[in-house]
Amino acid sequence: MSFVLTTTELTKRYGKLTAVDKLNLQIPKGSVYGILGPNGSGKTTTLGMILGATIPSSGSFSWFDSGDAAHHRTRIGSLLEKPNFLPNLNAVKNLKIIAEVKGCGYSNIDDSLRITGLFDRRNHKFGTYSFGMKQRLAIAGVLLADPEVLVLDEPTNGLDPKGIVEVRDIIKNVASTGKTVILASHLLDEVEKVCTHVAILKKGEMLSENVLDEANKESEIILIEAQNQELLGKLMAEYELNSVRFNGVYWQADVPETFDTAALTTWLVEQNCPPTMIRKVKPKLEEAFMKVIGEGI
Amino acid sequence: MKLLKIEWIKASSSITFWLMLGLYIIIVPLLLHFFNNFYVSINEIEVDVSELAQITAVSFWPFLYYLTSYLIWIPIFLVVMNLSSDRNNRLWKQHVIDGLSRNELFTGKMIYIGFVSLFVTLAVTIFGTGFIFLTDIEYSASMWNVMLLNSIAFFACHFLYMVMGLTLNLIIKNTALTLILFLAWAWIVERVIRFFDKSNVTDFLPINSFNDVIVNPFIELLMLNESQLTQETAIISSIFWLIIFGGYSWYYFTKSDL
Repeated sequence: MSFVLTTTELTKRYGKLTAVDKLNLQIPKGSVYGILGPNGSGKTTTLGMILGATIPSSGSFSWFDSGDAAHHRTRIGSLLEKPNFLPNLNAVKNLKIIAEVKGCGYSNIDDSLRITGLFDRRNHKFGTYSFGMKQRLAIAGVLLADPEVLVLDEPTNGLDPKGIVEVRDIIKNVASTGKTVILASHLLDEVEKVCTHVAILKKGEMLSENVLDEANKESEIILIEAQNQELLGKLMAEYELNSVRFNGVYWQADVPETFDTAALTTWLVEQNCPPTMIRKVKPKLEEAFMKVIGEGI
Repeated sequence: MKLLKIEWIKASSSITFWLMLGLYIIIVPLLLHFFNNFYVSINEIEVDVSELAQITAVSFWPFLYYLTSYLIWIPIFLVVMNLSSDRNNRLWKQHVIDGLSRNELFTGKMIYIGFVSLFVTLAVTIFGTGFIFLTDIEYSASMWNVMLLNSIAFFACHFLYMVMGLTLNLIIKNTALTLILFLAWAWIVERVIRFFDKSNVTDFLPINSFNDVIVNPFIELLMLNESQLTQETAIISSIFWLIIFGGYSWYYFTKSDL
């Protein structure tokens, strides 16, 4: 498997605060790689470092197996935080600046504006755009040079529902052509819908790199409730269930898909703790995420 | 070329850019007109300054470049506004993530400053040449050498001032405050420091060094008793300040988070 980006012990400190701590990432070519984490988890700092805007305190990274040369970034379409354009320039002139930086000519400008639905407003000044339109122009800038890799930081921020669907479609379309997409988001739903790989960051550390596998694996979660919840918890642990935890309403545990719910129910009745509710469900990314983050649902 | 095009797309759509350059182009001929009609009263006799100075095509250029160097705040304002626009709209960050190297980012700003310095130098030179041919100033072929040397000094002085403006703007990060502090330093602080320093060491402070790159013809003409660096010393001192200011700007662009 070849990787478009490899980070090695990548670290960023602001004084005593460690924003990103020894991050090791390997992003496979052709993947849609989600970086998931709550606010302040280091997602944007990580993207800032790999895109050259933030200087790492230590560690290294390499794009396409050959260091951080600026010309690599011309092969990457990036949207970091909010769209950065000149308010007194129209969409076309703002995209011309990006085209000059990337050395890709102006021929794709109209197409990028059409894809993002801004063609009719191309001669209007950026300062007159709504936030959603600004975000669309940033995506037009990302697509301009037909990049090999897309790096997107909260790309659906500020978009209306139609815009969100359109951006997700763009990401899926780009991914379907074999290109790599790196997507940072705190929106689980967004990541779940478009990503093939997910890493979770919390306080600058990577907690899990395969959480989507966790969410999609052939295992399920069993949810149980009983009148005597305290006893139920003890009995579930005694039954040797994996990852027994209380989510505030139900006791839950990870079980294989073939798990026999009836056998557990019978045993609990025999232990004088009949369940008032027992249900087996497919874990969603949200549950996997919360489990990794360690906050419980 | 790429960097020049990027700066041109940004600048050519800015009203401030055209306004400031337009203002410069209007003021220079007005200054020449004023110079041509400027009389001083000596023992109640009105004397034409150009006659007093015995202006010829050769001696005209030092006067022209020296007087028009007082307009230096127009291009400085332009450069500070350009930097502030880039910084406030986070364009440096965008340029880097789009693929510009940090060194190119720094070079782009130096090219912009060089372009503005070149523009004002050319404007003054072209108007000055026109002035010589439209008036009865005695023409001589050797004026071109004098013009060339003085125009280089004029260009260098503007470039140095603007690099200092760039550096202050990077440190202060506020347009109005940068201009106020820069003006205050140039017009008040540095002069006060030099006033109290009798050793003349403070002649090497940046503004005085930059100013003395352009020879002040009035010192000789009016026999003023004013401490001034020789042009050679001013150039050496200015190179030192250029390394300091340019070095800080380079460090900022290449080594700091954007």
